[in-house]
Amino acid sequence: MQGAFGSDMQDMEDLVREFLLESHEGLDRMEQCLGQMAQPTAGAEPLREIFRSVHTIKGATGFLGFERLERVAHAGENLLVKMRDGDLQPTPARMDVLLMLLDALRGILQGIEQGDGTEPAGDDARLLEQLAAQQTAEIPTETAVATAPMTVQASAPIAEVPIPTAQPTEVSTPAVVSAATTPASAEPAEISAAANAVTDSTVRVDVEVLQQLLNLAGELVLTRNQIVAAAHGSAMETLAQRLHRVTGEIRDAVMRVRMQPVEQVFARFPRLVRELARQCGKSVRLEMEGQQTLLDRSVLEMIRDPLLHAIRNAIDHGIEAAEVRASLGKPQEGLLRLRATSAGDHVLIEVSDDGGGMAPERLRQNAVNKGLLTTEQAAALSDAEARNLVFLPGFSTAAQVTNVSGRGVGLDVVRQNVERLGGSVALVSVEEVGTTIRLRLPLTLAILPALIVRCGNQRFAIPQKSVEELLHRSAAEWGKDVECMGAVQLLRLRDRLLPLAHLRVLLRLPERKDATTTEKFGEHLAVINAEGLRLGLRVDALEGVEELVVRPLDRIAEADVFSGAAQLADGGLVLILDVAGLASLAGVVEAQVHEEAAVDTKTSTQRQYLHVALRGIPAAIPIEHVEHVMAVQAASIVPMGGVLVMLDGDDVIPLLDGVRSGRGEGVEALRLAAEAPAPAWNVLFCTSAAGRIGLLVSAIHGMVQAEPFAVRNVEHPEAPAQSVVHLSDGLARVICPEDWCEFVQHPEAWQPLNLLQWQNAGAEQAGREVQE
Amino acid sequence: MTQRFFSAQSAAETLDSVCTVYLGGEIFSVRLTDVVEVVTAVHVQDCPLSPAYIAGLMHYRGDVLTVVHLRALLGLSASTQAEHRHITMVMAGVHGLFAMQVDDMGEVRSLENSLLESMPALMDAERHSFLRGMYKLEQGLLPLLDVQRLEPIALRAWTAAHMHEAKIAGREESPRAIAS
Repeated sequence: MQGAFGSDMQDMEDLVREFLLESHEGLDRMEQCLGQMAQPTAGAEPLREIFRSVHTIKGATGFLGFERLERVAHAGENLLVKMRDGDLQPTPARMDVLLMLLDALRGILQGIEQGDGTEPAGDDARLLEQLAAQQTAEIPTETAVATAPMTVQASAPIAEVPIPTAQPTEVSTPAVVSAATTPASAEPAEISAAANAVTDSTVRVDVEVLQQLLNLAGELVLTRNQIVAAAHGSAMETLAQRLHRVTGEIRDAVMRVRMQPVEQVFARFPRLVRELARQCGKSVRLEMEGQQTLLDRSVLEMIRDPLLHAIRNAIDHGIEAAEVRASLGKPQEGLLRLRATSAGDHVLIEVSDDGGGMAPERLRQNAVNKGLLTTEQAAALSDAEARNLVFLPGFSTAAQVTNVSGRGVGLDVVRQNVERLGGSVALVSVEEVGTTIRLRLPLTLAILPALIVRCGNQRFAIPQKSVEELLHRSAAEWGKDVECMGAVQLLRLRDRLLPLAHLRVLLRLPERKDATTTEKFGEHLAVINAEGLRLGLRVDALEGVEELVVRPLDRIAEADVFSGAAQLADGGLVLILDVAGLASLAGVVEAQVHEEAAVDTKTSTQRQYLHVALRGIPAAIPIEHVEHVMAVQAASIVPMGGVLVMLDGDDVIPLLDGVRSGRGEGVEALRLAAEAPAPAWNVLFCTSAAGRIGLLVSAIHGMVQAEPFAVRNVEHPEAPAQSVVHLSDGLARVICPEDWCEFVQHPEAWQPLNLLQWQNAGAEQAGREVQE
Repeated sequence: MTQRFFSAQSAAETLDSVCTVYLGGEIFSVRLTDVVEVVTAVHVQDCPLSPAYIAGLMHYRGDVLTVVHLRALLGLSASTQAEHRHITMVMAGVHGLFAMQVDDMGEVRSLENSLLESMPALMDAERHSFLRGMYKLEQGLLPLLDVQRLEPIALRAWTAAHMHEAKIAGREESPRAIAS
């Protein structure tokens, strides 16, 4: 089809580009709105929005001379105007036609983009016919549902999903179907996968955020000028503080510019779910929550595929066929829930279904059938471990392999992608109740919390997510615990052998002159975990955790041991260690993973805890909640409303000692601290879905494996603890950070209670549980 | 004589603005258009496991730049003159910014670009690869450094290619005699 350009093409180019950008955004909104219309609560607004998008496109096409686009948009508009005015109801058939319209418009726009501003050729007769047909109110809706959707589906708007085997009639004539449909509606498959080149390079920014950024930048310049002028004055300190604040705020504002609601990714899912459910012959209702949760744009782009996999998995494997559901007494319509929540510096995205869950026995059997495990190995797995088998490459659980999923690529890819982002994936599945896949994602990739270590006269940073634990051994303990096997040093750590390497040796740093330091100060170790490879990294000193703004680095080192560099708060430069590179440099090999798996299989219902003491009372914190330990100066802790708080970056963290954190008690604790000889407290930072807290720990004993026992019938309003664990030297209560967050937020819900009373009652109760 | 070309009526495109630098007692030049900034008193952080011609890393306006140790790269020994300022120059390479350390900087000169002659084939092969040519001046020859080849990314490729013949890492310990 011929556009109106020719000689003045150069002049038109900018206009066309702008038009494409606007139109793509309009169509994205249209897609979101189509999704919203499927929700029962949707009002008339989505429909109006769709109308506006299509209308805008039509308006511009006449001027730019895209005749084909104009024809299609015009036909769509005719239908939409009747629907908007309430003359026509949004029936499923009409929704399908609107989806076809969306695809056709996208296809033409894509063609214009690729064809340097000329419209792609194509025949839209079929679409126009359908659009016209839907405008007649008395069209028999049932027939439309039966015919129209099938055509749409055959033209497969979802990338990579071939026609399912479940519907043989469709499969038999795929060539005919695609030939019959117009190129415009056959194209969208590629479009949604390849995303639009124009829109992906730009960001829409909230004007308010930009204005704020501008104001801050102005203030920064002002402060700098004042600092220059007052360089010798005594006002320096105040100015420096202000500069500090302003720059911090600027950084945050810039970060916010990069933040986008997850809705951008979620928007495509209602349609995807509809299509997938239809292909699988199931009826699925999608519920979405927390679409406004913000995530860094770079992270957002990278979770699209993992989420897609998880959804496919849930619909194909999770949710049962309607007959099965009916026989189980479940509602015929399956429920798929997508939920995004922010938790501190992480965002959790959950994909849950109310389907059949995963039967551990079937998973074991499947692993054996696929040759991934031997029968003995499979039998030795605990149920939880069996469920984790789904993350193995080449594993598929669908009883019947369909084309939607079950091709052996799926959850392993999900995990791989999420871990590459620095996040993690957890899976909870209860048979006949459902499955939840939870993705834990970092808010941004730009800022990396890292442990700073010193070696020689240089500092290095280890990404916090790779640090398992920090150890210190006195010279005497060192001699006792370390074994040498050839050139390899091994540390005996809780009945396991941990290979050791000294950072100085790995990096060939000069030897320190004062060789006696080990005897004097002992050895410092960071246990790092590089994708399952564990290594005890010996360093000269551990300095603490800092949030780094990562900068790329030229590849100048002979081994890939540095992943970037960053500037520290004191202005110094640190190299960020790549733990995988370090592990391979140290010669740590895969074999260890198997050994670890073998050890883990013995501990079925056991979980990992950090064993600490809170005011001298033993406590265990589930390891997944533990962030890091930091020595905090007593001076930087203040009481606020009876609770102690401190600043960590820009976060205000409530500090609890796990015992008496009720109203007014914090002040007492502070007074005690001020009197205490120690100038610093050990603060253990914990994360949970409800927020972050800091625990004032009096001692850290190390990691333990233990089985939790639930505490029932015990009133313990002051110190919430739902379970206890039995350790070698007695009981320890389990601290669940989430409960404590709620405790801090609603202290009135808790009544003070004598601590000892509780402790005794809890211990007795737990003792009883143990005996049972 | 080149001095008269300084006057305003000269055609700018026939002139090269260069800046002279001193390395191990020898004089070299770089085109001014390749220089972004000249910094003194910058802290250069060591980078472990890097070749000897990498002085380390430095912080520059929020970025981390690789600092090339030019003297080590060209196989020159330390200069006997103690009063050198040890200047770090931030350069614009094809692939981004990088920095290089020189003993000292001389002056900025405008030279007729017809005076530039490409390198004679007989030149020391190693040094040859880092030079773009020579300005034939009345006072003698002024070598022009090829900034593109000094970029860390280019050096990486060069190292790989020359690893077997030039013992780069060991060169600092056994400096060669300077032929001048």
